[in-house]
Amino acid sequence: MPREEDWIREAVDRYSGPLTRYACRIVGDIERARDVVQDTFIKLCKVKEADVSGQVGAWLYTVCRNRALDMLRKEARLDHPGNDAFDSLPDPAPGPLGVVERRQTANRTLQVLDTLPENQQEVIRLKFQEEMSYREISRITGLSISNVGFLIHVGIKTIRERLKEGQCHEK
Amino acid sequence: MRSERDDPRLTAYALGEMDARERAAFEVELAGDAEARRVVDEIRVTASLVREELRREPVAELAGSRRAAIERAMVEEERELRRPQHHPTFRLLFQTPISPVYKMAAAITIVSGAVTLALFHYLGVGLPLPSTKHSPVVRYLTIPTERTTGGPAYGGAAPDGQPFFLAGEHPHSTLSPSVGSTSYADVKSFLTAGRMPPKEAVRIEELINHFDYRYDPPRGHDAFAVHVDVAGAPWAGQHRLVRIGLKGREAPQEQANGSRVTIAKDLDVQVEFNPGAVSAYRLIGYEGPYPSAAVTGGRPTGDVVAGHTLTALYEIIPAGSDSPAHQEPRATTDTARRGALFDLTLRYNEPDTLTARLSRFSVRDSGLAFAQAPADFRFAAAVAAFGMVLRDSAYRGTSTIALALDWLRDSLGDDPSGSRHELVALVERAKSIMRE
Repeated sequence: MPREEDWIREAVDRYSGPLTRYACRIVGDIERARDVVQDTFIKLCKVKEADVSGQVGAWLYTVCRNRALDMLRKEARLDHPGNDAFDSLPDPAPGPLGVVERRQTANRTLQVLDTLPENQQEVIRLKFQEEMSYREISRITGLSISNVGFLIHVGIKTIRERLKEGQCHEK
Repeated sequence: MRSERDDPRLTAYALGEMDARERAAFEVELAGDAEARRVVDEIRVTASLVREELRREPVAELAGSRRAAIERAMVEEERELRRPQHHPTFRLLFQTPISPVYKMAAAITIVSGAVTLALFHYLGVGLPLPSTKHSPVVRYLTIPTERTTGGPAYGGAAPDGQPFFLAGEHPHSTLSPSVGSTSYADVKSFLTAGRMPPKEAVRIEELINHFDYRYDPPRGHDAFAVHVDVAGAPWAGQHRLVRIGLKGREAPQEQANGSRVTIAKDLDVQVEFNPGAVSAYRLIGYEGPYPSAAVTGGRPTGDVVAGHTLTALYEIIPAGSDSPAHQEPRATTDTARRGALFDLTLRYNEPDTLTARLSRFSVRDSGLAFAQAPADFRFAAAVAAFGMVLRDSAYRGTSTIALALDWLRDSLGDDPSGSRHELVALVERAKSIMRE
């Protein structure tokens, strides 16, 4: 018979890796990202399964994001609290792969992604890496759904156009 | 449409973020705009590229020590949740139950009370087939106060007793195969001395089980007889009351050496409620506190001795009622498909061969009113009502000391041992003490 808290174990199995990757981009290093993610799951333990049923992912990313931003705020790396912080996230931190290694990858797509404003990068990663819907991204980031849609649209358009330029130059 | 490249609807459409109505309307626009359609295709291609590359980014796993910290938090929270919150203004308390599983099998005689019973055999993997339809009847050994029923953890007290659990969320309830036997004597001492017993002394399941309900013994070589009645709950007009009685076979000839015969090992009794028929259920009693496992030496022996009896009462909020507990069932279980109120599963191991035995049967509610229920059923309910009044339980409904007395007096029956009349005298004492 499944135990009551198995749904938490499943969430850890499924989300701990992606969440850590996501947190790392905000806080800047892998160990602090792991701290944030550990705290996030410990918070999940206090929640009733019925209250998050079907939305565990969005819940986790929301809490994780808030904790990561709290951590940065406490370290006084941000000037503004609240959603303003979204626009003033620090430059994207090296992921587990590291910036240097990514530059060595052949594919330009992520190179272009890295040049986008951080707010566009975040929603694009939430959409295409974490497979969140516009609505979930809106909940996680606190932006309106139309704002989310706009940022993704602009980001994809920029990537699309830069890739085309690249192809033109390579010819 | 705005300049194609700047319209975020193109991306929303390309990524499937529009609802059906929006999508249909947008497709009408696209139908007349080749350039826009081309842009949609490009967006999709770019999105695929981005997705592919982002998927290749490695994830970072949590270290084992961090996962262990999460495990610890899980366990602590589970313990917290088990400790019930006392909300005196609320009649219904919903909590996460514990349902430990004992791997056993049982065979039983099914005796119908005011219900329809359908016996079927549930055969788990690896269990031997029971040889007959009528199973050996098992008797319960008094297991020292190790708690196995869903509810508060060891040492925890549930002041109002077990809370209501939602059948849709937690259809399974485990019955403790035995109860303690000290509460009735304590209550009697206090009342005889002219004092109201303190709440901690009142354990309703022990009060209920103090009395003999004269269950018919099992037939033939069966180890258990199971008796089930369902009727109205006298303290809550819309609620149903279920009495489950188990009686083990006697073994008089084997008592010559003075010790009681074990007729089953590792007994497990589980009730699975049908969310289609039951909104919420409450096992009456088991208020605790109970000595911790450390004090009693840990796990029960699990031996069931000839001649033992158990009575359990469930209060049920039926599905479809207006109570705040009602909600649409989430699960469709086998029980639900059979239209039953609940299924009861008995498991045990035969003492000599350790062959696993299992029996499972369904119980339907035939809609009996409380007044029409058998006297022993009404007596057990009256004992429960008395206990709830003594504890001032949030679940006592319309019970009062006077009503409990009436219900008792109406259900005395034969009472050859005089124990029922003794209780009536105690309740009368309580009534006069309360009036002071």
